[in-house]
Formats: sequence, C-alpha cells, structure tokens
Amino acid sequence: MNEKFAVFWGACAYEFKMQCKRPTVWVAMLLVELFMIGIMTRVPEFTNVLGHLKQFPILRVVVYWTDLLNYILPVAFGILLADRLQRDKRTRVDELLTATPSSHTARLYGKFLGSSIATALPILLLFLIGIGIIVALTGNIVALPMALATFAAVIIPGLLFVGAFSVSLPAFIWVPLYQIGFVGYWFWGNLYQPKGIPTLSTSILTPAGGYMSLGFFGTSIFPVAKANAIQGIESLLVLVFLSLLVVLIISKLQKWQQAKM
Amino acid sequence: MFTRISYELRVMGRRIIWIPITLVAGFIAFAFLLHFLGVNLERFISSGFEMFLPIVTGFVVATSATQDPALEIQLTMPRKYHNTSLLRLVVIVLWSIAIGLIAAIIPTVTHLTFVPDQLKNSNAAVKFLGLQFSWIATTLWFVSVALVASLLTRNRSASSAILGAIWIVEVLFMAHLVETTSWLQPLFLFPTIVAPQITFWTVNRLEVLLIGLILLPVGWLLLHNTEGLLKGTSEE
Amino acid sequence: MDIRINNLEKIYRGNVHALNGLNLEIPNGMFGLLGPNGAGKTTLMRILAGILHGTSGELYVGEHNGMTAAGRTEIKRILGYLPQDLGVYPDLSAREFLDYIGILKGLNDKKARHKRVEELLELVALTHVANRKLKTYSGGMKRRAGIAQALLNDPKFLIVDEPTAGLDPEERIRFRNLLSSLGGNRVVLLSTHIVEDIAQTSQNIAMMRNGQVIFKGTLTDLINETQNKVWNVTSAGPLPQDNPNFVIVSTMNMGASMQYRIVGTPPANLSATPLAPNLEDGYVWLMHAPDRQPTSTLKR
Repeated sequence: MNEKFAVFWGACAYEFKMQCKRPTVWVAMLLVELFMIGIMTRVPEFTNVLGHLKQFPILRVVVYWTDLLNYILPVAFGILLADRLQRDKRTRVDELLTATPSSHTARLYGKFLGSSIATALPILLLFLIGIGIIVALTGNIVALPMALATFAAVIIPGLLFVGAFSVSLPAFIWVPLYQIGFVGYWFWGNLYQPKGIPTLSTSILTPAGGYMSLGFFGTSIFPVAKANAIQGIESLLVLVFLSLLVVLIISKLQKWQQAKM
Repeated sequence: MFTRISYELRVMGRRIIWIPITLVAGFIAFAFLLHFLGVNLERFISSGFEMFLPIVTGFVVATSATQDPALEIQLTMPRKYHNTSLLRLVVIVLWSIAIGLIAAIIPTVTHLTFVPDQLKNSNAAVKFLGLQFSWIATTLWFVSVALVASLLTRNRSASSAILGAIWIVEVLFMAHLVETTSWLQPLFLFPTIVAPQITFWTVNRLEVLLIGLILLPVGWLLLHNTEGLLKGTSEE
Repeated sequence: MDIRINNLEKIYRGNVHALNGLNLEIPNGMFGLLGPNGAGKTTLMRILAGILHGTSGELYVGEHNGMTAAGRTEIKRILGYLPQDLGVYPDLSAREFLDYIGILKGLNDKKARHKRVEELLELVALTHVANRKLKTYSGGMKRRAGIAQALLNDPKFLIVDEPTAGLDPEERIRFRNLLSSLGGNRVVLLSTHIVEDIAQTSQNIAMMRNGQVIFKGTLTDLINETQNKVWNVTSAGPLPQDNPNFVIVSTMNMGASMQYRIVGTPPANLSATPLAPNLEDGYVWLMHAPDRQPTSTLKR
C-alpha cells in the first residue's frame, strides 16, 4: 500500500510541476478569464452587485463570485486537461512508465490529481483576486473564511469531476472529439434548463455546483430550483465518488487493453 | 488538383470526414427522440446548424492547423506550407458546409425550419438561402478565430478552450448583452436561435461573415511563421 | 555547385545564440558535419533547408541567396531534406506518401511522377512493402521512405540530418551505402554525431561546437591533427575522469591493472605508449581543445 501511495504521490507531484510549467495552461486560462470578466462587466446583474457590494449580504456576494467562476472556467479547465494522456502516448512516456513495476492505477490517480490541481491554479488565483477586491471594498474580513468554504464546497468537487473525466476518457476517445463533446455537455448538463429536453443540469450529477451552492449557502446562479444541505452533501459525495470511480474504471480498461496487445 | 485534395484529406485523417457527418446524424437521431417526447423541434434542429456545426468545424481547423506529423518536410517544399494549410482549411470548411447543406434539406422538406423575424415575410427561396447563409457566416467566424487562436497560442487545446468559452458565453449571455451594448452586436454569433426577434439580424450576419473574412488573412500571415509552427508541434 | 556560408548567425527568441558567426564552404560531393548535441547542427540544416531564417550573415547555395525569401524558394526547388525527427503520415502507404510529396515538390506530370516513385521505391528496397501503411513500418523502413522522398526531385543539394540514429547495425550499413552512392553530382550534407557514419561515407568534413565551425578539412587532416596526442596508459588504479590534460576514450579492466586509451598529455608518473589516432580520437581532441579557434571568414 505504501509503495502504491509513493507512486501516486510521485506521479501527482510530477504532473503538477509539468502542467504548471506549460505556458499554454496559463495563457489560455488568462485569455478565457479576461474574456469572462470583460463580458461580465456588461452584465447588469454583475455590475449591480459590484456597484452595491455593501448593500448585499456578504455571503451572497462570495457565493455569486464562486458560482460565476464555476460557470465558464471549467470548460477551459476540462479542455486543457484532455490532452494529457495523449501527450504521454505521443512522447512514448506511456511505454516507459508501463515498463516500470509501479501501479498503473496509482499513476493514473496521480496524473489526474496533479494535473487537475495545476490547471486549477489560474482559477484559484482569479478567485482570490476577486475575494481580495470584495474584502477591500466591503472591509468585511468574514469574506475570507466564507470564500474558503465556497471554494471547497462548490468549485473543488466540480473540478475534480471534470478533471477525472477529462484526464481519463481521452484514453479511448480522440481528444478533439472529447473536447467538442465536453463543451456541449457543459452547456447541456450544467447551465441549460431546456423545455422538454432531458438534462442533467437539474440533477445532483451537475458538477457546476448548483446543489452545493443552494443547499449550503442558500443562493445559486445555476438552474437548480430547490436544494437543501442534505442534497448538497449528496451531490458533493456523488461527484467525488464518480471522479474516483471513472479513473479506476479507465485504469482497469487500459490494463485490460494492454494485456490484449 | 483532385489527387492533391484527396491526399490532403487522408493526411488530415478520416476523422475529419466523419466528424460533421456524425454530428448531423446525431442531431437527426436526437430529433427523433425529442419528437416522441413532444418537444418543439424547429429551434433544436436549427441549433445544430448555427451553434454546433460551426464550433465543431472550428475545433477541426484548430487541430489541422497545429498538428502535422511531417511538418518539417512540408516546410522544405517549394509549395509553400501556408498555402497547403489554407487548402486544408478550405477542404474542411467546404466539407462541413456540404454536409450542412445536404442536411438542411431535411428540415426544409419537413417544414421544421426555425426562421428569424426578419426572414418571416420572405419567400421560400430567400428563407432557405438566408438560413444557410446564417450558419455559414458563423462557421467562417469560428474557423477564422480557431485558426488565429491556435497559431497564436501554438496549441490546439488552448485554442479549443478559448472557443469553448466563447461558445458558452455566446449561448447564455449574448442575447441579453446586445440589448444594452450595441458594439457587441457584430459579435453576436447565434442570433437565429437565442434572439430571433432582433431587428439587426441581416446586418449581424454580414458583420459576422466580414469579421471571419478579415481574420482569415491574419491566420494566413501567422502561418508564415515557420519557427512558431515548429515550436508548436514540439510543445503540448 | 557549392555552398558558401559567411558569418551566419541565428539568435532564437530569448537571446539564445544557436549559430555564432559560422563560416563554411561545402564543395560538391559528400560532406560530413560532426558535432555534439546542441552544437547547432540541426539549426544550420534547417536554415540551409529554408525552414528557419538566419538572423544575419551570408548564405549561398549555388547562386541562390538563402537569406532572401526568393532565394529560399529557389533553393527548395533543388533541395532534398531528411530531417532528424522524421514524421510521416501514418495512414498513407509509402507509395502514396511519395506520390503526395512528389506533388508538393512540383512533379506535376502524373506519369513521370509515378515512374519516379517506383524507381525510388526500388532504390530504397521498399517496393515489396510499398502498399503497406507507414504506421506499420519499422524505424529503418521509415528512414528509407524518408530518403526516397528527399530524392524525388533529383536534388542538387541533399541534406540528411542524423540519418542513422536509432537504426540497427545492418540497417545502418545499408543506409550508409545508399548515402555514399548518392554523392555524385550533388552536394550531400550529412550531419551526425556518430563518428563512424562520417568515417564510412565522407572525405570532407567539418566539426561544429557552440554554433561555430572549429575544424574543416579531410579525414586525414583531422587524424593528422591528433598525431602524438593519443596514448595507451596503464595504471594500477582508476584515472581521474575530469583531468584537464587528457580525455579518456576507452577503458579496459585487465584485472590487476587498468588500461586506458587517452587523448591529450599523459600523466607524467605513468608509462605511456603512443598510439595511431583514429577519427574518434580526432573528434574528442578537437571537442576538448580549449584554444581551438573557429574557422576564418570566407573571402568571396
């Protein structure tokens, strides 16, 4: 077990460093963030909140900012993570690693966590900048612990879910196809509540975090009409569980595929 | 020329051919399902043309522009690589448009087209042509932006992330934003689906097409940067 | 035809100097370019092939000026290039790949192009597998397909960058023989860090270090440069690896003692026997000679 953990930790640290050093991640995320902020400055609701920060309950402001980031940025997050496995294949690192006695599953978990954390860093930075501005403008230091709670409860489970699928599924799907599908999924399964068309956006499977946001903090910008804390916990646990499960399944499928070759 | 084009298609991979076909087939299959669920199909079918086909084509262009396994050999050819790359882009776009046009016959024949207000009083031919022009303009916009973004970032995934974010914002925010911010009107990509009632639909379509056509030469110029292209293939 | 390079500089973004005022004249025939990894060989090859642009200096391939866009286009018409990292289109067969590259090289007459493709497939001994997809080829077969594409336009100037890297001994010999047979009425520039490849194919060579040419001459000149500098030294214990006076080329453990082949000045306290130098010794000597000056500016 210790050996497996060492492999997991090694892969995690390596993937984290490697993804952090990729200028693409920072440039793409920065451009998407600037685009998002630029658009938001034209959205009346956003400018209203920004202009009257002190008049809104501080929790609502913090949750609004958290939800806003989780609205668009996971799209870029998922797309940027989708080429990690393909890169290993292209550079033949996968062969090198397969030839080692280390656990494949532990490596895939390490890859998933390390690269997900690194890709989430630009999101965390923007989140902290926003929270800093909220604290500076309202003078309310309580926003800081609230921000910790909203980030942990709303953003992290969603990013874990997206990260797990984006890192592992391209083992069996052509990367551009996955990326195209992911954009469609994010819209249909998280942000959109169509009339008559079945959707995941109102179920606890939505990684955008509507259930946690509404269930724990009483407000949300996602299409979740009603949610209590229990449903929030359910959604959070289901998302984390599915993240771990999909990595495990893909790892086993890859091993099975290798054994067949 | 035919031999050249057939080689370019094979060099890019058969997936380039199958992706738009799969998308259209998927939409038709899903439309059948929705029909049985009693959903109004017009807007859904139109979204396939105006919202999904353009971004899919954009992703494919970004992939083609940044990934050529024999790039180094290509760059030593007397036929310039920027022209080869442009030819590939044209092949991709024309293929997507051809598939789209063939697929457009189905909603036209079954009277399942979703028409914006500005076209409602036009005759059938103008309606058909206007609707096709609408999604072709958006497709060209996405293709040009994908080309420029992928060459500037030298990375397909970065370009796709940017396109994905633009797409989400366009679908969910633009209809409200153009009401208050007039300078955003030329950047409104899916007016038929999300705001069919707008009075500047025709102008918007022309503006979107124009932006796409302006960005295309920018991408072509970026394709001259051989050092950047070589660097792009070694990164990721 | 010859190639003249005068004071060529290449500075990459971030002020990375890949070529530092390089001077070189390459005559007709096989020409070997030696140097360690990072010496600037690939950058030079890519500039000669028109892929990269030199920052400053002069570069002429025949009468074509390689520093201008028009000149580069003309050079590409007479060029064949086999890159170090040969990428191929996996879903094309060798025959299709060559046909496609033929189109890109401007061989517009379909019949003549097909005939040329068949000739080259024969030359590189790939005819029997010409319809197989390139993704099923071994490294050596891909290299042979690579050299075939480079020869499609019967180039006057052929560049092969590290052609034998990763090949098995038999494939390497075959490839070297093929290259030697090509150096007739054309310039064949063979870049490598494998000394043996040069020894078997090229009489004229140049050696690069830190973006400059530090030696140009024949194989005999290079070996002569190393006369009286190669020694057989026997020692009871191991010799230090980082002695500035010599470089250990090979080591043999004789049980009670160690026998070394060194290039440089042998340690005074040990008995040393002079040895006849070979190309590898010459390479090692030049690479470690600290006072070695780059070759002088060419007079045009």
